[in-house]
Amino acid sequence: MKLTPAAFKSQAIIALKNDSLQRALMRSKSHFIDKRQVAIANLPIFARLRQRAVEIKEHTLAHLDFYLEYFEKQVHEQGGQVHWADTPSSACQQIISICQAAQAQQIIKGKSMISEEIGLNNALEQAGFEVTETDLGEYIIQLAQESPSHIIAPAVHKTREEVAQLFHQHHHHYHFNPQATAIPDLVNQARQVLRDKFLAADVGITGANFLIAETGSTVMVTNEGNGDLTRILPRVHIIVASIEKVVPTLEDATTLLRLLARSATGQAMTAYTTLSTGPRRSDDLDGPTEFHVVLVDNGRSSILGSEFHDILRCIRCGACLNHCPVYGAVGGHAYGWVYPGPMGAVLTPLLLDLKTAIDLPNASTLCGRCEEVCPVQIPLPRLLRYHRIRAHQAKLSPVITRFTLQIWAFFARHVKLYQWFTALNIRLLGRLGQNKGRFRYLPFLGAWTASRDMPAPQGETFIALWKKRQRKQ
Amino acid sequence: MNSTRSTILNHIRQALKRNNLDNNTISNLEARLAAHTIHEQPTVAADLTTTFMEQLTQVAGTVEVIPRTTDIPFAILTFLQQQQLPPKIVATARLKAINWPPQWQVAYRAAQPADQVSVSYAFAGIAETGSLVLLSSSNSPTTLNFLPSNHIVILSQADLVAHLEVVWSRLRSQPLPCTLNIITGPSRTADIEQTLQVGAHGPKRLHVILNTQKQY
Repeated sequence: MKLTPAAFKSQAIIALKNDSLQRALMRSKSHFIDKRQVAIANLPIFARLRQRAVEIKEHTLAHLDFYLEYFEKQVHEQGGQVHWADTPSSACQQIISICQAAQAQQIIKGKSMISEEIGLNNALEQAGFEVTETDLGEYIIQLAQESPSHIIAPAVHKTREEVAQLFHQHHHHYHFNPQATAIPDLVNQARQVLRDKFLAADVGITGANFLIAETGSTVMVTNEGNGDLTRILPRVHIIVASIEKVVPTLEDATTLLRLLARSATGQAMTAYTTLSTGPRRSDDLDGPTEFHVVLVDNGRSSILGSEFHDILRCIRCGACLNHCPVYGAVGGHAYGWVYPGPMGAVLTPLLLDLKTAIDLPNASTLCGRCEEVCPVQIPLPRLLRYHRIRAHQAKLSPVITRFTLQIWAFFARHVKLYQWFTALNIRLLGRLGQNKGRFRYLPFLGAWTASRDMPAPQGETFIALWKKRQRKQ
Repeated sequence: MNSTRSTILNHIRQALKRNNLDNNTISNLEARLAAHTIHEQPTVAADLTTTFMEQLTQVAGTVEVIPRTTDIPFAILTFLQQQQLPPKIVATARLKAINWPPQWQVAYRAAQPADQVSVSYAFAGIAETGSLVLLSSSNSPTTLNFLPSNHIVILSQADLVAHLEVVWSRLRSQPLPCTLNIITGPSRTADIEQTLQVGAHGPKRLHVILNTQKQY
């Protein structure tokens, strides 16, 4: 997947002018927020569950080596194999080897963000395999040759007309009604086309929402049933998961499950929650004969214990995206990589590098809605601030910004001077703006005043007023 | 590959600022695993059957309550007639004992692409969310749960539990199946314009036959 977080600003401007994207964002915003709100209102123990979820995740992260080794041992006991990958290329290479050993030609996939992160589809295609995404949203963007714009609704930016056109273009040999634009017809088309793919596939690749150390099982949460067909129909099932997905017990996973779907889609439980434990048993009539789990680090072990540690609790529900005013305005593609929104603005600079992705943590008002809705209480605004501090220290921010900050820092450290200067400023601006009471334009602040007026200051500074009051008393 | 494994594990230990765990910590962690502590659970009304049926209906599942095991074929027939489907089903081998009407075609095997209706047995029903728990086995192939457009699930009232955690504790006395499905309503998607559409890749209809007979 191409990496364009460095172009965030221009991508955001394009997104703001894209009418159909703006309509799509409008629609999804209220949809996700309202449904989550109802689901949470129906769960009085939500606050306590959140607290418990944090405790479970923190306990696991503090003993991550133990739980990963325990998980590995259990997978082996169930007849499966575990592969460890520290980099995207190592992960892709190991998956390619499994597919080659299985003499596979066709591969089907369930939705997996980690596979997007490691650029798996591209690597598999380069190696000569035919890869088909089967989640409807992922399928749509695969046809459009785009990247996901939302971590749980990858094609949220597409209108039904755009989907209809894509399907018309790619499904012509199926002779569907060319006029079909109704959503049920489109869903049915994808169902029929992908059914053939499912039945012909040699390898199925899915992600995992949780890995259960206790049993060596992987847990997959879906609504369409595509993930399950991907697991049970092909001969080989490969699960790709990052190392922080492990939890100790089934009970621990159950607590996280109670939070996940509610935070994501407002469902108490998604249609399908599946526990996959090893390959088919000797007397089973279906299921895969090989079961592989690829554990991907790709930078997680460096985040562990750092000031960004809290982001490893993330369960990928997407609530922070849905509640973010910036994501809501520009959509996911502007962020330029796999993870958009607040969690993406924290993760992308860590997984790529800060220099490329510096605009992402800056593109936030730090309003705090993301932290408020996060089911595992990740202090996202604080983590965004850490990125800004690092960028400033590494001199990645523009010269003018650092220069201005230096001047401000000088005054902030000289209180008397600061008070004198602000008092002078206020008097001056107050006098200048006397007539209209506001400024349409301010020198150096053209970008700010382009979309709003600056009110002219009235009276004195807060400190001056405070001192007066103290004297009176 | 083994070197990658130790690289990752060493990175983790370095990040956590410690070496290998000492035996004392390991036995504490093993004790935590063995304890299977149940965390906070939502309150579920005492009448599990009513709660289960309400929750299932909310997620677009349908349900028929039958008083006797011998009513199973009639309940299936009612569903097939409602959906205007022929009496041709692929079923769990647990139904072999049933005396099917002569013109019925009943197969006991994994599902195939042409199958329209499947019948499975649930290991448990969960009142909290209206979910069904199905275990894969030679009697209960997982394809039955996903390939046909119509999925009929027989659930015994005695197997209704309040929360998922009961299922976990019941499963600990037996080997885990290859695949365990927790099914909550028919297949669905909202991937086009956030519009809910039932019947994406899995079954378009999920019909539960709730058997209230005490012993069978």
